Amino acid sequence: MRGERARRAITALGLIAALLLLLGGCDAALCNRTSDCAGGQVCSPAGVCLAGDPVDAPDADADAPDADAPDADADAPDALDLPDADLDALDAPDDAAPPIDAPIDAPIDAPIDAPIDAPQTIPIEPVPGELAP
Amino acid sequence: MPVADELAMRWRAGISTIAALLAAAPARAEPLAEVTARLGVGVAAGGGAGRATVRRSPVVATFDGAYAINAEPHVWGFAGLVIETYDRTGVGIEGGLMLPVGRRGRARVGARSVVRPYTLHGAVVGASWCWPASTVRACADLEGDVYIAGTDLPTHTAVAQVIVAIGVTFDAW
Repeated sequence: MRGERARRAITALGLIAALLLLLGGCDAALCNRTSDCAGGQVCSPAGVCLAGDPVDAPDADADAPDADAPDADADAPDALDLPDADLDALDAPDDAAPPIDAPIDAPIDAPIDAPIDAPQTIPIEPVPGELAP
Repeated sequence: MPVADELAMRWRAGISTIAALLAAAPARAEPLAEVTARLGVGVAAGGGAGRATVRRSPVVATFDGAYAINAEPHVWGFAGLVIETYDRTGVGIEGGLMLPVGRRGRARVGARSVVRPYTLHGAVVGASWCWPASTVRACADLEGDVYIAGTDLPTHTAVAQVIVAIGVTFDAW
């Protein structure tokens, strides 16, 4: 009884597998494994045989974010997008600045007549046996 | 009751008993060891990165030996050689446990590794039905494999395959 059930189950599974084969779901141009590809090629994660070193495949993926970088920058505020009013505001401090030919009357507070201590002289003592200066 | 009738009744009872004994199928002892060779092919599905690919699997040949490691329930441990062939050549090993299913069936679960020239590691589940129930028998087999690691797999992908196989098994002990 159990053997009969097992036989029926195996037969059914075999028929399902055969049906999958006949359904044409197989595509010989695609790969699941590197050994599915011709010599010198590697199977990419997308299921396509590629020529070259498998290390190159991650590099291609690593390049993808670079293409998206300008999009990220486009979301950032840009100075060129400022309205004219803001530009006028930026120019306002320049207009308020004094002319460069205005007299400079600000006194210098530091006293210029501050006494300057006389420089110290180092006494030179005569050394016996040597000529005196 | 006449003696003749009594003898006739005893004869009939004896013959019935003998016929019943002959009709009853003797309990077939499971073999201590058996050897199996299989050859099969099927479909393999794999991939990643948001898509799957389905294609024909390699032709897989296996040569396994099994030895009973437990009597009740009957359990065999099996191990053997695996060869992937036809459009490539890969050699590996497999091993696991196998249980009887009925008088003619076997179910098994184990691990498989292809080691040369590429590597592939995964699990194997299979069932086979053999005929006739004798020392040497032909078997139909259905196997499911899942490979999750190895140099033959693209990064971050796995491969599952269903193999339909035929084979021969004989009791070695």
